[in-house]
Amino acid sequence: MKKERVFFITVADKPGVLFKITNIFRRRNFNIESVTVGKTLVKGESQIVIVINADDEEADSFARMVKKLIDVYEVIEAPKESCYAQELLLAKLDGEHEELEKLAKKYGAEVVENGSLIIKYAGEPSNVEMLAEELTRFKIIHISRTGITAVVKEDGKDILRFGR
Amino acid sequence: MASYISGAQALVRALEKEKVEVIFGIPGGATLTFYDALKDSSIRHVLARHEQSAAHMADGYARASGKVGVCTATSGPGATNLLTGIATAYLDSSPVVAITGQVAKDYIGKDAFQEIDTVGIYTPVVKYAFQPLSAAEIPFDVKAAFYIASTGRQGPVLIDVPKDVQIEKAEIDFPEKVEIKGYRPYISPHPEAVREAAKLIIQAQKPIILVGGGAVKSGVGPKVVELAEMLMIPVASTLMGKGAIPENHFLAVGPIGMHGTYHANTLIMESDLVIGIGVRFSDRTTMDIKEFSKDKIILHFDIDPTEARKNILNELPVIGDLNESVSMLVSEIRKMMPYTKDSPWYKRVKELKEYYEDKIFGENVMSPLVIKKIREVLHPDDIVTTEVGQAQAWAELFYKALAPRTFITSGGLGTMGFGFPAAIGAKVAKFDKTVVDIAGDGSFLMTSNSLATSVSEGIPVVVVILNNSVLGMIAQWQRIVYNNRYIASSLGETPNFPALAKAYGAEGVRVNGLEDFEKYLKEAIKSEVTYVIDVPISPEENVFPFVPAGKSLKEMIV
Ligand SMILES: Cc1ncc(C[n+]2csc(CCOP(=O)(O)OP(=O)(O)O)c2C)c(N)n1
Repeated sequence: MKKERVFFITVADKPGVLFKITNIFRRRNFNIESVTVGKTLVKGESQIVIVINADDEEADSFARMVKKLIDVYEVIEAPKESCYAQELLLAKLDGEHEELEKLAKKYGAEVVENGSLIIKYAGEPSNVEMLAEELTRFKIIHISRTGITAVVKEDGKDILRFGR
Repeated sequence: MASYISGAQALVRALEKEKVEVIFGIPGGATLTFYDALKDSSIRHVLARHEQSAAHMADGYARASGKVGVCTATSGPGATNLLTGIATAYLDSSPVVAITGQVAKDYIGKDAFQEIDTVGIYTPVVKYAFQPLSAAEIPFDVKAAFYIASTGRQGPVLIDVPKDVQIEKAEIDFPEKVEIKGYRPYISPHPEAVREAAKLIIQAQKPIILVGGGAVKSGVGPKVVELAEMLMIPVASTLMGKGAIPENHFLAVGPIGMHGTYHANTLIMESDLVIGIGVRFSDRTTMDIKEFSKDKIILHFDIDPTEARKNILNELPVIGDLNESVSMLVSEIRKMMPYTKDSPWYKRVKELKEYYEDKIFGENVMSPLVIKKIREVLHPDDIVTTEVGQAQAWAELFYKALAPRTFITSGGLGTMGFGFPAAIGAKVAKFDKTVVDIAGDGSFLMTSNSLATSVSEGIPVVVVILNNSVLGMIAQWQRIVYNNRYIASSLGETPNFPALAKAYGAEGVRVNGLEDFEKYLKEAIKSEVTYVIDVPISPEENVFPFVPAGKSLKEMIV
């Protein structure tokens, strides 16, 4: 069954690695829903978190193909429901400060003021989605979303692990 | 011990340390410095006339010898020309190291003269791509490239060397060993998986072994023979698996697939268990994969974990070194072995094999006879390469490969023009063996300019052209699948091939009939220059059996 899958890919922190990984999804015409990259605690390594929509078979096959790349050290694949996932949203706006504060409160977001009016929210990806929708009431100057990052839940199901 | 040398000198010395004997290539602006350093080396350079052929030569050398083949091209057009050959090596898991020149670092990414994103375009068709950005990195990259190309599931590796890195001088160290994090080529098979496989095999009524390219490369053949004889079960092969075990063995049934033998295709479809060894169950081999895997157990022995369940979801994979896993399997089975000498399955195998082994389907077909004649004349360890098309399929069906690495063909990519340069590369590797390229006229025209290389470098091979004046395989499909609607498959007036050969300083003859062919083949084998034997055949000849795309192996047209 097609569903959102999260791939946690530990890689060598060097040029070209992200290209090789995304190229595997591109080759089979998959749209990547989101990618986040960050350093791990190990020097010379980073972790890429990729979300795609795929069925079991496709997910398994992608995990293997990605792991086959020499610069990839480990691949963990989990259905999104087996993960604790979060996304960060930043938006620079023009508008009523007070009205924005009200909206922020509803979501538990923060209004930052440093010359311009910024709303900052980190939370459930679905909440980010809703908040983004609501923000269209304002004049948005620039909106940035990170895409999701996540960790696998302790009792998460259907988790594939390759490497190490 | 470090020495103060240029990047190009380091590159050459690193290649010498890998015991490279020969490099196939064509120089250019971005490799002149490398070539200059090569002048002081004992490594032989064979000048190709097109970079695609240089890559096929390196590939043919690798496939014939088991060693890493090396080829080189300049940046830009050199690199793009080379690409087809590297992709060919990639799909057949052949260990080739490609060295390309690149423009100086500061010009990379700026559309400089002959600058192309070589690493970018090669990445999907190589095991790994290196681009050293300083001279000091070169020895590591070369050592790692050879290590990656030749271990695990083998394959091509690119080293793209910017021109200024070749020129730059530095104190350079040569590592004795490299370690590559994230690369673990040696995998030991799981004993539990092997035991499970053994149990299933013992329980099966109609097991069959299927060997592929991995079985050729690993040299696991003798153990496969032991397994087959112990169980008295047939051994089929893929196109790439030809020669893994001698095809004249009493249990060998030849290749399965689109152009598999009648008995092999029939037997594998009747079987209740397939022991795949070094195969990848590709579409040309299994044809309709649902039908293929229906009602049977598939065991899959392979070195590459990504092959497990790639094409057949419910198979039982045994991942690991084939020599280890098949040895383990043999001893497991020996423990439980009830002898099955006169099983109904063996009788069926024998019956089909006896009836179909020498059968030629179709009327007035000359090509199979020519191929059989080649087999008759050549020694068991002589080498045959093939082009692509009908000639390849006839060779697949009628040339019995008797030893590993003696049947060299572009199985995965199906690259026309592969056979002739690959033959030249194979000849360089095995100079005392006869090497014959079984060619169609269309394919030969793609790389026939390698005649210049073979003559000027003194590398004599034999080219047998099954000359039907058509792109035969295309014509066959148009005849059978597209209701005789021929388009763009006639080659019209094909060149006078003997004259073409002679123009290059090679030998050539057009033969008349089988006897004439035999006579000139024997002469060609003794020839000191490359010999082209032009064998006229009818444009209407079909290769049978033929399983049209989308059909199952049961639905052979004969
Ligand atoms: C480089 C390349 N281009 C096109 C094809 C498609 N193709 C497959 S077989 C074939 C015809 C081959 O003709 P020829 O070499 O004369 O051999 P024959 O089939 O007549 O034996 C063609 C065009 C291919 N396999 N490779």
